[in-house]
Amino acid sequence: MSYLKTRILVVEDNLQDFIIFKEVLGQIRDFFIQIVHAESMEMAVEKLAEGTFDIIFLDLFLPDSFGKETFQSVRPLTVAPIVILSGLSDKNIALDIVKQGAQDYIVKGEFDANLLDKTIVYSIERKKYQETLEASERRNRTLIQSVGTAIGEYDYTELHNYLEEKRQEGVTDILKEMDLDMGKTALLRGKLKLMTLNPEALKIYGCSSYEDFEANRLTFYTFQVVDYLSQATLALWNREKDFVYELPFQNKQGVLIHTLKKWRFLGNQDGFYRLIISTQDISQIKAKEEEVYLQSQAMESVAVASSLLLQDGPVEERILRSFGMVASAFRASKAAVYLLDILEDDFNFSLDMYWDAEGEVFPGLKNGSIAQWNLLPSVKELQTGRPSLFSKENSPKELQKLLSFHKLEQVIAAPFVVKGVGNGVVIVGVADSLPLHNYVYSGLMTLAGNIGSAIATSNAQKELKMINEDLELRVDQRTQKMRDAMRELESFSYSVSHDLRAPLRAISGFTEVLNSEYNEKLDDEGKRYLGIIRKGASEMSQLIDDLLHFSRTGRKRLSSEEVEMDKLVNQVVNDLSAQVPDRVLEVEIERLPSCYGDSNMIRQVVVNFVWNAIKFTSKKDSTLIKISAESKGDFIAYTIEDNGVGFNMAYVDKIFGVFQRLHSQEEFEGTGVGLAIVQRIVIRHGGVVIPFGEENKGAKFTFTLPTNPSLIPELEEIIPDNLIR
Amino acid sequence: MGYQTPTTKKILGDPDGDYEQFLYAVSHDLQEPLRMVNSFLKLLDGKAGDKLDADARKYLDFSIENASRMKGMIYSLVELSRINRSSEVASEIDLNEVIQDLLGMFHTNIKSSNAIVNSAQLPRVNMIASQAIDLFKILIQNTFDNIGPDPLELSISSKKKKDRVEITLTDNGVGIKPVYLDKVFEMFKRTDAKSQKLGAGLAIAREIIKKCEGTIWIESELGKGTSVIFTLPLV
Repeated sequence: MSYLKTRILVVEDNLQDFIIFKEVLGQIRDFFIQIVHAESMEMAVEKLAEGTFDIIFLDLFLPDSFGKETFQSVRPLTVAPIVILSGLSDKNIALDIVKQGAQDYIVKGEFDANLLDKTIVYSIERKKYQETLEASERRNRTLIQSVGTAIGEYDYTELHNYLEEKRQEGVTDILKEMDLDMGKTALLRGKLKLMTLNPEALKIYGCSSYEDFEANRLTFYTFQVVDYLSQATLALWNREKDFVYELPFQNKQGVLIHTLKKWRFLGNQDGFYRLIISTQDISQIKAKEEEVYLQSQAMESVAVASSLLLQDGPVEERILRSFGMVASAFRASKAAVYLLDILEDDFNFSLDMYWDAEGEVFPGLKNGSIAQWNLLPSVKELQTGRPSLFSKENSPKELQKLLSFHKLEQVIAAPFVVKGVGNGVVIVGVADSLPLHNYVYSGLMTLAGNIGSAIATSNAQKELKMINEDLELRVDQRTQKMRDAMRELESFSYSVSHDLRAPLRAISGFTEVLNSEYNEKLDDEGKRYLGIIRKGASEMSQLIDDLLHFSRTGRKRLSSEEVEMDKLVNQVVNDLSAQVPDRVLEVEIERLPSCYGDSNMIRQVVVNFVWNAIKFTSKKDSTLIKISAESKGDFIAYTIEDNGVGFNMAYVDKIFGVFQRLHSQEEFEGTGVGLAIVQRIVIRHGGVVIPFGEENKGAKFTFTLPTNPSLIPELEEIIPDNLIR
Repeated sequence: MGYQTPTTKKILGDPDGDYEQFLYAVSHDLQEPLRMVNSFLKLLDGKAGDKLDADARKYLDFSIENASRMKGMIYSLVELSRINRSSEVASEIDLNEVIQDLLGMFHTNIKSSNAIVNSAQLPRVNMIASQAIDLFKILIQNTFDNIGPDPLELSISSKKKKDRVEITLTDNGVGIKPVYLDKVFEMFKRTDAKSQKLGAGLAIAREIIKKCEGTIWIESELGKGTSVIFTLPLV
């Protein structure tokens, strides 16, 4: 490079110093030098205005200017490197000024041609280099300013030096050494000099200018900044090139912004340690993440709430718990559930419950009319099942007032249907005006549906319970009615029998007296008449006895003992045969196992069957009666067969009816009560009677009796059975 | 288990059915021998009555008297059993007409005893016509059977109670002792043992009311009078 045309301005008030300087400078032969001399600041300013210089030698102590001031006055006037001419005394000042931007300094009286030559060349070269740097830096800055990403440029020289010092001191755990807290963090931040901030960055911070940012920067950070800076320092300590951190902060407008901070340590560049921090606004990503999180949480709450709805307990409590849970997952501040009776286009509540995030009641909703709220969707909308949104902005005045009263910004109403009952609605109120996510709608729809079915189920259960209770009641009533009826019948039949017996006794008694004392006064016809009268009276008497007997059988308590049927049947057959001495009876009795029951009653059964067999074989030439037994599980089936007149199986269901007779009284004596009593007794023992008959061939009756007393049903026990009609 | 099939109905019997059967049996099975007894007593009376001394005559008369009483009782039981066995169906009955017909029937009783009968306008009810007549006949007959020292004053009024009407017959007769209030509805129960009455009327009345799913009860003060109150289904 050629310095032939180098123009030098020397600002020196001491002429001797100037001459010496000029002499030394003249010894440099390599290039052509043009020297301009200025003796004062005033002159210097003048000369600088006249032309440009390649280098300026400046004495700081001029008649019209002193020290730093001199440099600061000259600096703006030229782009040329400035070399300070210093006396010994102001070497410190000269150094200080170099720090501020002078290129070099030389001490008067201590320089020679060689030094001066070097000083000139180096100063000019350095200045040129600086200029290029500055230009590139300017370009750099323009770049930084113009990129879409928020970028801040920092000088971390101080921090670097601090850390290196610590390293020198032998510190190994820098974080422990620093022990950062909020206060110390501010100091640490002081070691990072912000150099530039691009518009994008200003935008993120919500600031209009760099100054605005500077004035507010302390208010941006949350406590998390401690960790943020600690980690950054650690990264630098570990000599990492990059450092990434997610930092939320509140911008000037108070909006919480999630940012991704990227630090890039560029090392020593252009005389300082350069750090570029890019800040990416990830609020939307964060919000999305948050939404996904909330959504999953909300859906989980809907699922949990749905399972709550299925649990036991009063349905009101279950609903309150479940929708309260969902409402809080939706960040609602108030929620309510109504069951509605739809009246044309209006509603009445039949069930309402409300929930409040702060545990308060919900008076407006509870007491107000929903129609007055104008809150609910129309019937048509209700039937679509889709939730409707009411925000404060686009609501009628009345609703706006109510929303304000409840500090709500928006309200969603999700309708539901209760099968067999009607419609209902779940209302959720939100205190902020942020747009509500889709999951809130879908979650509420699900919840509303579940509440609807929970109420329906509960109603069905209630109904079922009522039906069951009703049934039980009906069975009880029926049982009671039956007992009453039995008692009534018993008392009625007793009383009627008793009442009928009174005149009958009179008839029997008087006709008996007539018969015994006045018999001789009656002719044969009279005697016959009296006989018929007495027979009739006795028949009636027998009938009334049977009636009484029958009415008592059903209610009599059974005794339970082992009944030796072999013995019993033989006895009965012998007794009854004795009553028909003129008849020849052929009776076959097989071996008969014992059974359990009331021996007196069972004897009656046997008497009835045997007597029937004797009775209905009376018209036959020979009488054959066969009595056998067979084991049928826990029961013994006894069978008695005869070769009598038998009966037509078509009338089989009539033979057990009280007083039913298949044969006329004239044909066969008897009241017809017998078989009815027999059947009652057998059934009371848990057995059955199976009749079989063939007209004119004979009858066969099989009856079963238990082998174990436990098989005898308790009277009380069997009453409810078969009562359900 | 095939042999162990006790059904309650079979064990206890169907109370209504048993009741029916009982009544039917009593009325029919007793009627037959009673008819014999009655007719042969009369034959005996006609044939040998004059041959008997005073004592025997008395015995025969007692027998006839008791047989006739028994016949009355059986007849009442038949009546009672008919109430539920009736094949007639309930229809719309104008009770005012029923009362008018009955007042015509009781005309002589009313005249001879200087009785005053006041019947308010009565509603139309749903019941079997013959039973409506029987019911009011029994109740009006009862008031004539129990006239006190003053001439009979009988008032009939009604009060609507939902789908039923409550009808009240109030008289100024002898009244009933409180202990008998429940008993009077039982068959053959008489408040006066010497009475020739059978004591079947109120039992039959109650059975008719029961058939209409109504209730009947009595409020009475001895010596002052009696109110019979019952409910009937409205049309």
